[in-house]
Amino acid sequence: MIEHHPHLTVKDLNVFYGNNHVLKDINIVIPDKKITAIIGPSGCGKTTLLKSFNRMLELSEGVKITGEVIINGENIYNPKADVYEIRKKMGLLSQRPYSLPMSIYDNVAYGPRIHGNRNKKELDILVEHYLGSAE
Amino acid sequence: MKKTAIEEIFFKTLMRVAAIIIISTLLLIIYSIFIKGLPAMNWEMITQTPKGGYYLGKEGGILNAIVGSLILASGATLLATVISIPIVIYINVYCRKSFLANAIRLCFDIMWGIPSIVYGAFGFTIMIFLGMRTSLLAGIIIVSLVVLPVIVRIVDEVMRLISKGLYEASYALGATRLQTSRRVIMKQAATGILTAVLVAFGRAIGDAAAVLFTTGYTDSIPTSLFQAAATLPLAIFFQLSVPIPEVTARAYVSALILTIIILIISLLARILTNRYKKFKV
Repeated sequence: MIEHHPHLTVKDLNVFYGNNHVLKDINIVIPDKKITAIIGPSGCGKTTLLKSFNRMLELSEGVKITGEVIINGENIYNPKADVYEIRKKMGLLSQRPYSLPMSIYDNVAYGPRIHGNRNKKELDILVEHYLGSAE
Repeated sequence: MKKTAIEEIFFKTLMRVAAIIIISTLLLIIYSIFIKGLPAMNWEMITQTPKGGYYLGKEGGILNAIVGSLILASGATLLATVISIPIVIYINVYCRKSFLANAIRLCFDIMWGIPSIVYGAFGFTIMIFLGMRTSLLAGIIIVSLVVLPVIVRIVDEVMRLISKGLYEASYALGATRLQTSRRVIMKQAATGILTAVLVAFGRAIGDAAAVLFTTGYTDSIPTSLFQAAATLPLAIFFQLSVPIPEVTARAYVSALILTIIILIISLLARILTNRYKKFKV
């Protein structure tokens, strides 16, 4: 048996949309190197929970979040945490995927580019690799 | 016949009549300007400045007003665009409180509604206070205020329609709001921005009231931003009020030139809009 360390730990997470208490005292541990599925009826807060993992919730108006989400030992809701670094590491694919208003190449290269990779050769290799693995 | 079918025919006819009235008005305006302006149109009109006795029907042209109008409208549109894009991005990307965003929108709606003569009078008051004389620069600043709300509100309406999912797709990759604005939102709104800029240019070049006090009028081509300059709408106004048929005809030539510039701008808008649609999602 392989020992599974917690990769992501949620402690007493509460999320409010205005006065609407959406997530109530969530406590879960998501283990490392495993696939975890979250199942529930429509509107029960699955997406809200997922969005709380890379701080996408705070983009909406009137959202209040309490509690902790610890990823690799670091609480991402720590005021000192770098939200862009968190989102760089924690990917989130929405239910309805959006392509960005640019060419397919630029879509794939968008992520590396915004994080400072401007090397055309490296980007070419990356883009080719990821487009190739999509087949 | 059934009542609903009669209703359908009645309102369809009404809509068609409305459309025909508007289109025929436009055609009539263009027709009358061409009919009255074309006979007096000649190469001199667009290549020469007014010579002595021009307003008595002697030789000369309105190159001063053409150049003045083009510089004024381009300057004002450029200035207004540079100021308004950050405002729109602030309202749509940065401002988290929708009441604040809506308050800013209301301000621009009010600004849009203020007649341009009021901007002109406002500019004139400030110029007197500062001891400035009428100049191209003063006109550019005041006309940019006139067209600023046009750009802000048109681009804003386009940006509001952009799906939240598109923002999230970019944020989810760790993009900052500035990166998202510049690389994604501005690209998605590119056609809207282009339309807004060209509509604003059309309004700027056609505005007579705001430039009356601020830019003044002169028969020479301005060589610096601190000189007074002639503009086409004022050229039309002054020539039309001269009771000499040759000069009145020249007013129509000026109107014809102004209309042609605006037609070119509108066509350009269409062509460029289609080109920029390429990557829109």
